[in-house]
Amino acid sequence: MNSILPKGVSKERFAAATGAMRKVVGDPWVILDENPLIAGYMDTYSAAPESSTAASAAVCPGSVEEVQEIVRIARQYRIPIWSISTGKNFAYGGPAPRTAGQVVLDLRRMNRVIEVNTDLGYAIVEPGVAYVDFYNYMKRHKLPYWIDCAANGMGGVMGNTLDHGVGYTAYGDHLLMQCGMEVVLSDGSLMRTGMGALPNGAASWPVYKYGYGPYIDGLFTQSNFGVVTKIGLWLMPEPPAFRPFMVQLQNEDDLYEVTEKLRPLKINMIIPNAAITVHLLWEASVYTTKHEWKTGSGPLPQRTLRQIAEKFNLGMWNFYAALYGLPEVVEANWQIVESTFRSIKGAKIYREADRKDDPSFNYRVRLMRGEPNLTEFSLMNWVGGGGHINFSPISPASGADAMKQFHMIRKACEKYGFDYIGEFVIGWREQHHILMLMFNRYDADESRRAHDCFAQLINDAAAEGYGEYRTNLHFMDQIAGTYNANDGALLRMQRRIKHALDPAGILSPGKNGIWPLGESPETNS
Amino acid sequence: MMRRVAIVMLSILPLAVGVSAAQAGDAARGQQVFDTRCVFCHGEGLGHPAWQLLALKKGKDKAEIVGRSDLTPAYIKQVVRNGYIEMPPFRASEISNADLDALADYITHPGAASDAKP
Repeated sequence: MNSILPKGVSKERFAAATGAMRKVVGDPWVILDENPLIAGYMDTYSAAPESSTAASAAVCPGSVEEVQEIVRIARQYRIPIWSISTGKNFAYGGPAPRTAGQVVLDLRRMNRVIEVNTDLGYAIVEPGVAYVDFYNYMKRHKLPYWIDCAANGMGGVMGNTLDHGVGYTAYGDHLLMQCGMEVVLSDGSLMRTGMGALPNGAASWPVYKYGYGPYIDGLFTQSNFGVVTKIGLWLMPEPPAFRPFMVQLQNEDDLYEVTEKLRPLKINMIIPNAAITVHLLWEASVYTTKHEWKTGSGPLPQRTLRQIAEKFNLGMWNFYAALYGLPEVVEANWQIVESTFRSIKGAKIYREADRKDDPSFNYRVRLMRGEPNLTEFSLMNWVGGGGHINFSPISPASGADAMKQFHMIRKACEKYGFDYIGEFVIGWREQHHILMLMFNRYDADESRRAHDCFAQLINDAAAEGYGEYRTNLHFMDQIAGTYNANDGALLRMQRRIKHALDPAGILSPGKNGIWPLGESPETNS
Repeated sequence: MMRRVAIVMLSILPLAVGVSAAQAGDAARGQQVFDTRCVFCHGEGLGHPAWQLLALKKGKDKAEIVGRSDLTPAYIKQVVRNGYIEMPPFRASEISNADLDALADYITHPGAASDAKP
């Protein structure tokens, strides 16, 4: 018998519900907590104990029709179901549900690329398509488009898009490039957004986002208003020329100048891709680990950072971007870009041929041309033990904001005994600052400090007017609570929508702080 | 008429075909699983995090797991399903039990995959 049950659900009700689900998806695809396979639904990287988000069961439908049936059963029996696609959003919770006992609705088996249209440059995919599979599909069929992937090449095309994830090509803002969505609502009905609502609208569905009336695709991202079963996404044509480059910056204060010089290049689309400014240790982890430089805990001192930079020919900051397009255009833009960054004192500029055998440069180049890899996971070797959570505040793309956040976050990291390992991903006018908070999750004290550091950072950032774009399961409520202008008007509206669309409160309760009416973090703890 | 390519409704991971010997077929299939699910971390050289860690802890001769004589199929399957320190677990919905068997065959006997190739 299950040792974990959803909150407030009797064992009899749970057994009846999972029994009904078995009839829909087949015995092997309802995994109860007595089955060793349930281990695959643990969040193995967070600072909190795995038990705090242990699923009572997982259900793995293989089709949209099965998803509809499962949702109907969950509603009938009032069973909370937590949707995942590939379940690889590590640092944010992976495949685990928000609270212990929720049933994971695992959509990984729905892994088809439904269509790739080579005239219009779009694809329609199911939830279980991973970047690596999508990439291989495009290569296998020799399709003249690139994909845009997150740094985790095992991650899901749809899941990353719905969680507002980013990549590194000119199509790096994934939600911006999403067009058309199919959603199962909490009553089991099926809805298509935009032009897909026309009975014969399939041809325009993936090419025109807005349809007629309110534009609603965004409601189904970072939310729990429905279960998304298909999305359309636009694909970047393979460019005739591609010129990636690196600007190595010698001083931490150079962050200000590189950000200021980059902004006009981004706004004017001279640099079209999601450019990144990466701190030393992020890149150094590809070559080395902390234990090679320091015994005991605590952050590395500046003199050691200098030694690491020198040994591996890295900067204190390392900026990466790429130019794409016709060779003549790329060459013309290169003249602008090179002269702009050359003017930063001490800056060294490298092109692909300059760092052929450099694994850190190579993985950045691969990401900027949409080739999935997992080199960034080298970070997990930095302290060992695998623990990592990402703190990700947004700010305007300005040097002053970058410096302010860098100092604020490093100060907190050092207070709690951690290295600052961060990067800035610069979109069009904003920047995502990503702190990779690395800790040994087998060390209870270190895990607790990581958790406390993260919680403090949320408050520190909010006090300065910064909010996070995405977060780990354990901090969803705290961050939702910082978006509290006008007496929490935004969250109150989200909860009203939740109640209207999912009155039984069965779909991913607690996602991004959106709880069903009458529920709260406290009632679910 | 608009050229709508593609390759509608295909499952992502193609099945290995044209192999007659069952074991060789399994290993070839196993190699395919390795190349799509494992190689990013367990490929050879820096840039592959698991190789990097194993090289540090066990030496470069044991950093590449394919063909290592000290790994048993049962151990490989246990690690894949449960994860191990920094490696996440893989669910049955992403690596089926049959694929996991084939993967374990390939890692322990990679020569069989070569035998399967024409």
